Amino acid sequence: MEQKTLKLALESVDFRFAGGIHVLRGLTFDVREGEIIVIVGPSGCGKTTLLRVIAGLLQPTAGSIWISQERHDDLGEIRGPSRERGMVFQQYTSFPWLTVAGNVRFAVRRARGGGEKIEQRVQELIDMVGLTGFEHAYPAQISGGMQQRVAIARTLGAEPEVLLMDEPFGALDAETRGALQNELLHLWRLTGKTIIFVTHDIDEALYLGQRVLILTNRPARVVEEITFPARYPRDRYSKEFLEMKRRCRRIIERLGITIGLGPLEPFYFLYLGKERLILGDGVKLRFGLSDDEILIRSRFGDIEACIRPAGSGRPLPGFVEWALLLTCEGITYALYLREDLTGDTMFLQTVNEFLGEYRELAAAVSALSIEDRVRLARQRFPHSDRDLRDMIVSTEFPSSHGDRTTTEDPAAC
Amino acid sequence: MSSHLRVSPGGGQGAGSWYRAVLEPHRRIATGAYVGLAAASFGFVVLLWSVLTYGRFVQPFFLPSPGNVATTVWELFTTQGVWPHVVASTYRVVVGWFLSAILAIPLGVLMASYHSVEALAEPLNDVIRYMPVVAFVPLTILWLGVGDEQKIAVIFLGTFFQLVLMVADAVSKVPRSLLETAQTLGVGSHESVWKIALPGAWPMIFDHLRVTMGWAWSYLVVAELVASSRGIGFMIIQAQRLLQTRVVIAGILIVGFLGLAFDLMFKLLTPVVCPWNRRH
Repeated sequence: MEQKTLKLALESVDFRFAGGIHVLRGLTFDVREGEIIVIVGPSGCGKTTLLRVIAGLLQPTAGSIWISQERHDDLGEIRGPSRERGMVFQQYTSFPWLTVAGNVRFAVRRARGGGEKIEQRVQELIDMVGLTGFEHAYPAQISGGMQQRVAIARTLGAEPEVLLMDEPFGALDAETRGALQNELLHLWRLTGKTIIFVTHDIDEALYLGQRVLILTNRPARVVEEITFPARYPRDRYSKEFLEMKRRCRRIIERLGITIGLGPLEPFYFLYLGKERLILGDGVKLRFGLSDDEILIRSRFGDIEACIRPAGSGRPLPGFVEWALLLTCEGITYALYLREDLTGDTMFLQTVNEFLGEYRELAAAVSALSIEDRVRLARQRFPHSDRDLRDMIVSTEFPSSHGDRTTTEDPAAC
Repeated sequence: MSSHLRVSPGGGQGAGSWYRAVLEPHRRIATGAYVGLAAASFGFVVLLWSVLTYGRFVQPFFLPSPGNVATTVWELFTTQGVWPHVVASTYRVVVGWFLSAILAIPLGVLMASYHSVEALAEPLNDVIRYMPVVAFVPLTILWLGVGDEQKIAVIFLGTFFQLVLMVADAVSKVPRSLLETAQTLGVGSHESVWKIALPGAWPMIFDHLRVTMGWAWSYLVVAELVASSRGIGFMIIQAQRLLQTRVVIAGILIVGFLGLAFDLMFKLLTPVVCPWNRRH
């Protein structure tokens, strides 16, 4: 890494919203030329805000951001948005009144002014993102994945120094997301662009990143930095990958990131209002407020969740915003919260109440013997005796983590 | 089109199926059914009118029969020389509407984009917007006389202040993310007002222009009724003075059909003006 030149530097960047919410706290890190740096962190921790501050769409409350321009040797401080920091948003932002080619041309003209080479460059970019044949389609006529390809081609067309990507594949289905991740790596190889990529998906972070920064809850700061060699493609099921994934998850888990509470005790069963839930491998559950069915599977120690929206036959992966994971003797327990529900205050309140209740319950449960736990669980879940036996009787709970209500202990991992 | 009917949920041959096909919310009906229903509504009005007149429930002096009015419309266009009136009215509407649009669009865009412009223009605009346009007619005559300028002024007053607000509303509905994207592509914030906000709002603005055109016809007749020597409004008021009820009704109908023709024109123009807004 040392041989690469500095591209972007954040120096004690602080950001507060006018309402007083402290989002970023003294963030300092460097980005090297041609590097893919991925920022992960809990939902609502300020990842997007950080990217918007770097883009210049928000002004930092304190601190500064420096960027090296191609023709300058020294760093210049950024002021406001500019073409040198192109951003790809999670929302589809193709200009609806321009065709695919028109959108790309818009950016290329910005970068190159007039000239003959414009059309050639536009076609090159369209070919590069695999949209050949769709030059004359309007955004309303193409799929979400294609819209994000347009957005990427357009941003590259503006010839930015740094490419900022804010969960660009977050709204796509798993298959398209996987394809676009590979295409992004391909584009990176072709262009050597410096990329700052924000995601909440650890898998995506580890698949793409040469450096992964894990942020804490609000006010966010970097709690962990993991470096990888820039070798692609990465094997998602290799031992190292899975090990690293588990490690990241543990870090995030212990941040108590879920809803700002401390880490939970390893859980035994969960209780949500009138709905009783057992979470474990192969368990289907329904959330209290929605009728969606969530199917949890663990595969190779890797956890997957499929959500089947109420009334729909097709499971929809990709809506999981965060997961609370606990692994006990090979069985992974998880509480998932759908992304589209995290913005729902009432739902969060319910979850908070539920967690408060759960903590009491967990404290009470941890004092019980296994036999008593099973008896209690049977009372609560009369209909799922077999599941319970499988899950509980054969499982030893790891010793309690103690009451860790602070969320900012970087040594916790 | 029949495929629409076939996919009806639980679509059996039962008595309820056609009913469901026609009365289900958010469901497109067959083109034939659409035309049929539209024709039926016209037919109902004509039928009611026929019963009242041919049944001699109402004197022809108050309400002439449909046949009589139809003949009058035909005569007006063939022998009675209604064309100069039509041309005069159309000219006034188009010019008044056009002036209003050409000024309201930029002002509306500015109002939605710059808070200072909003402060300058919106409260004032709102006050004027609620003043009755009809009350301005004597004033416009005093200032501009009884020529075309005065008619155009009335149409302008009637449409401009409404349109400004509608344009501003359309522009403020353009997603912020589009404006921000443009900024990270190197578009300056002032530039993005014209390069992003305006095209982003354009389909909606165009729709508002269509609605405003309808209002322009109403205000035109208001203006022409008071002081003029040409125009359909003038023709109507002349006929009233001569107690030619059939000409009054014929005049009203002509305005209605002209409005409809313009509306149709706007609808046909939409895919040309906003080609990206196609449904398919």
